[in-house]
Amino acid sequence: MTGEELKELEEKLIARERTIFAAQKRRDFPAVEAELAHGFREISGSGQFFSKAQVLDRLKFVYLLDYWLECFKLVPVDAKCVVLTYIIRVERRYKGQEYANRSYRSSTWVECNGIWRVIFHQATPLESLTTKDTKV
Amino acid sequence: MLAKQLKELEEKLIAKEKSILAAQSRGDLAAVAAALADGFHEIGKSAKFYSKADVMNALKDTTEIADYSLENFRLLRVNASCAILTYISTVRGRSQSEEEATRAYRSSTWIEQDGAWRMIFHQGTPIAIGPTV
Repeated sequence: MTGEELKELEEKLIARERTIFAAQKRRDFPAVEAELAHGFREISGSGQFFSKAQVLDRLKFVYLLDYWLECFKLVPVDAKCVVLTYIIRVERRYKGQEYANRSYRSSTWVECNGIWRVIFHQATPLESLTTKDTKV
Repeated sequence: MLAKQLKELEEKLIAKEKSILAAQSRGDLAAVAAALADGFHEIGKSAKFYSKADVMNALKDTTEIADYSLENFRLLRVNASCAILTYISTVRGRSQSEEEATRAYRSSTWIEQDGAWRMIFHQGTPIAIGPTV
């Protein structure tokens, strides 16, 4: 891919990444699911491994209140795969408590039949460990 | 891809993953550099973004690894020339006691270039102790 093509792809995938968070915030779970590839899996900010089914199930219990994305970087892997990295600040409600934290994220996007989907996602907390999540 | 071929690739990449740690442990930085693709980047477990050059520089000053173990390997095949290996690492530096060993859930993205598999991306997340969201 040329530099220009990569830049275009980066902008497209940043928009898609934002679409996923927007869908999560309005609790449109089918829209979230549609963005995830068949074999999707995730390592959460607390260092736990989740399958696609587990991630979708967890969405029902975690309420995304607000989020800010910044510091995007694209790591090219091959013609049909890239890793998009960024920092996110999220505010969430879980079991009646509100939490805010920042983490460094990566989403591995893969193209299949012309459509890009996320196949892997990982979060690493920025503020010490996740157990130090500050209450809003 | 057949289950047998997937299993073979998983075993090969696990061996490569272990050989990087072994090279790091004996201070063989050339062997580490050879296993990383040119465009390699990493998000360390302290949530910092590093290029290949940053990682190689940091390795010169790293406290030596006294002991490490890797477990819970899982391979995710992305496409014909790309696969993601996830696992849990337990690492203890020379100055750390057994109790101070750090556990992290890690992922390595491997690509095949000219017949050789190299790591292009790596991320580590400390495993939290206690309740989390």
